[in-house]
Amino acid sequence: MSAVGPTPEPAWLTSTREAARARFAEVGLPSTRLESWRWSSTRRLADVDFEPATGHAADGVEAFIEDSRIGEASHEHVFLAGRHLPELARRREVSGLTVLPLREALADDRLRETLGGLAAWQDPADAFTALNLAGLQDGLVVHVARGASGGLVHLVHVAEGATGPTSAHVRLLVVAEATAELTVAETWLGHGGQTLTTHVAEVWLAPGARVTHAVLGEEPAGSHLVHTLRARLDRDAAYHGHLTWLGGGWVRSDVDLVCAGSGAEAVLDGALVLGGEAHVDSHTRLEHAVPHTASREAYEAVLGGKARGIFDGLVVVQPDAQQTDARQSSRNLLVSADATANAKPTLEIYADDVKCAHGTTVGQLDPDQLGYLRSRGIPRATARQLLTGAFVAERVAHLPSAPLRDRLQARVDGALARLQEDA
Amino acid sequence: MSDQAIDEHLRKAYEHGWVTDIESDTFPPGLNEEVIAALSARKGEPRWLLEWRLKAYRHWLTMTEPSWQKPHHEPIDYQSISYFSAPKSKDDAPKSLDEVDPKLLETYEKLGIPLAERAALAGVAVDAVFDSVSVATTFREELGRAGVIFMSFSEAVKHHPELVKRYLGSVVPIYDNYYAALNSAVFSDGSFVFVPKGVRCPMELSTYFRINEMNTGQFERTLIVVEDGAYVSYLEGCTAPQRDRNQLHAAVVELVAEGNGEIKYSTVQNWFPGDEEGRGGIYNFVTKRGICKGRGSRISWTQVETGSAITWKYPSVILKGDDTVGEFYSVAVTANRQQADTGTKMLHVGKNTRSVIVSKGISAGRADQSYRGLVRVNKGADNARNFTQCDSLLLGDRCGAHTFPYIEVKNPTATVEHEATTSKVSDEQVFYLRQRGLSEEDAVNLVVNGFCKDVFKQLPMEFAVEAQKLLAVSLEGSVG
Repeated sequence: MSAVGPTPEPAWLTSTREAARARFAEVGLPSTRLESWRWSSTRRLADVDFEPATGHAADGVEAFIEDSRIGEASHEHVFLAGRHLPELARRREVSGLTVLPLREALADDRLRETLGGLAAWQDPADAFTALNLAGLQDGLVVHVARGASGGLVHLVHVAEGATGPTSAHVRLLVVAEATAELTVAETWLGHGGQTLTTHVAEVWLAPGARVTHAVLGEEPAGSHLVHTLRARLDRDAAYHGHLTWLGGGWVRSDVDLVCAGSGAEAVLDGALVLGGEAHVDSHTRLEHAVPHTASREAYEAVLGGKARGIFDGLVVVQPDAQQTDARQSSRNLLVSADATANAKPTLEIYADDVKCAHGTTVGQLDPDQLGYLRSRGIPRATARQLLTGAFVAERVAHLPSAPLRDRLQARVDGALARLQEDA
Repeated sequence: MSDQAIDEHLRKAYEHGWVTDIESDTFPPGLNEEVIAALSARKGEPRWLLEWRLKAYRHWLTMTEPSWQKPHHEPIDYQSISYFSAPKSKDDAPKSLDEVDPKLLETYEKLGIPLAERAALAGVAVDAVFDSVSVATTFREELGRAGVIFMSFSEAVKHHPELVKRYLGSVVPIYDNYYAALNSAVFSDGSFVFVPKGVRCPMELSTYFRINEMNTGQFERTLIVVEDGAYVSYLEGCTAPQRDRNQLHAAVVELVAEGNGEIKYSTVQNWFPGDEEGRGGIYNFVTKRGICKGRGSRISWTQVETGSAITWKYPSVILKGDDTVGEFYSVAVTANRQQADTGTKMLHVGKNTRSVIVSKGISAGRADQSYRGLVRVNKGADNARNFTQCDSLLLGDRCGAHTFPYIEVKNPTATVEHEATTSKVSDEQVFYLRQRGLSEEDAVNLVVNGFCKDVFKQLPMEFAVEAQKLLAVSLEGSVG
């Protein structure tokens, strides 16, 4: 595996990388025997020789991503098969905001504390994090200074597998100092072909920091994305994760948010509109480690074709984390005969003065609602589209950034229309 | 309530903690094929049953103990368990209650089930299992007139081998899980119920289990079959004497409901939970499963779990026939260091199948409790409907309450709903009741009883009273 970049890699990273490589060789790909992988088989990956992509030309990428660009972004960085393309980056000077490709940021010794500080890789269930570390190519490091407002930082990842199966291993590190504000967006696209991408995002929120983190996954069939997201919230920090999966590929989304300071508040939204043979396994963990923290989690999935949507959500209330207020919900709408929904909303509670609730539903469109709309003269297809759209509309509306929300609405509408055509 | 009062109540010794001293005929500890052969010979079993046991034993040897569950316990030494224990009185086979060892009767007395009187008054036939051998059965005749077979498992093997052979292991196969395999190899005794076509069992059937021999693992085997259009309500309840060694109890219960048949299975479990440090309690690792085989059949599990150091069971229903219904109502109470990992599985296979799950968990002291359930809707299970409600009530800041529901849906016409909440008894509610003159303890009892009402109302009258009493005793003083 090649070193990260032109600047010599620091010794601490090399040795961690070696240890992670050894660990991955030892444990291998996670098997469905592991509780957290019971619904996602990795067998399909075992037989494919994924190679790190080399020397793909950036030609054509610019046009390909044009629709996904966000004009309002203060920083926009494009990665092709895990490599940063500086020529396509857009940068605007924002006071207090530092954004660097990982290979350039490595010179800073502070990275030693933060990079990899939240994403454990020893457990067999975290084998992909070990693989990511072993094969790490590039990534982005975002730092927002105390009290600064970083605006919107956008990452566009393009998977490239047209000339044979490729792998990419990338990272995102966000450090928001006290009372800093930032919106970070990730867009995942693909050119087709067989691809495997592992991504590990680590977000550090200092006291009072506020981060919105929106992820939009649109990789096509044939792609495999293991998306790992870790955030640590200090006192009075607020983190809003918003993940939308619309693609046709295989996605494992692994989220772990820790409310480590009192007053911290974590919000996690998930929206899935899946058709074809898409497979999205959302695995979330929200930990309340100290008293007086709150979390809100809501996932909504529209599943058509032969798609499979999995929600495996865990809320942990540690001993003494009194006054925790946690709510978790997962709603699934099956719109085809061959779609599958799996849900496992889990609570682990070790404190008594808490308010925790979760709810899950799996069902189809309400025939009464359909009947009502049809009685008003709305054609069946339109009525179905309206109701399925309404099912995920709340999640889209929950995204706080207006430019992101508008783009997302258009994308979700497109995905719903495709689902309608397939049906 | 003051901390001191809480501690006092928590320390309260186990009410039913005593050992009846009866000369017993017990195998020395240890398990191998010879022990199984001896056990089978001792019970005069036919060849096929011995072979079935040996097959289970050989399979068990290839299995490893499960480790995914939440409760933790010291490793169990299966060679230190004695696999057979029969009260001596069995040899001179009592013909009536008068001939039963007075000490046995005394035991029933303490348990509050004087056989004749209570059975007569309450209209309940009691097949009391005192350790491993059934020593008294009542109302056999009356049931016989209705065509209902209700006897100990060993008797059923003798008198109705064809029925036992047909249904034994048909719901819980020998290779099902570690403890079911062990049970299949060494099961001691249990109850057998068969209700023929169209018969509504004229009374509620009840068995009281007691574990009474030192170091004797209990491996009960219960098999209940209702034919087309038949109905039975079965009550299982237990208390156990105090002792200082952990005891393993690995029972298997199998229920089979044919077309339009209905089985209502109720349990009140109050085995010794261990002292306040969790020493000496019963390990209750049970496999309970029913199959709604025929169209329109119905199986309902109701359980009140207050005892045992570790309770680990998932009464399940396979909804195989069309239009079948499965129900699970549970109240589980854990105090001190008790651990419970319990829930249910509802497997929707047939069309228009329905299931309801209501689980109420109450955790106090340093106890740890989990609801673990599975609702699976198979591809062909059109219009399946499930509703699940599992709530936890926490009393004390060092206890744990966890919820692990699994939902797997492969049919778009299914409607599956799951709701869960976790909270403590609200200060406002307690304050309101106290202001009306109730003591704090009574106030909390009232709230807790209300919390469990949905489940209690599913219990037959006789049990509902016992259940409420148990709940109050189990939680006495755990609140403050």
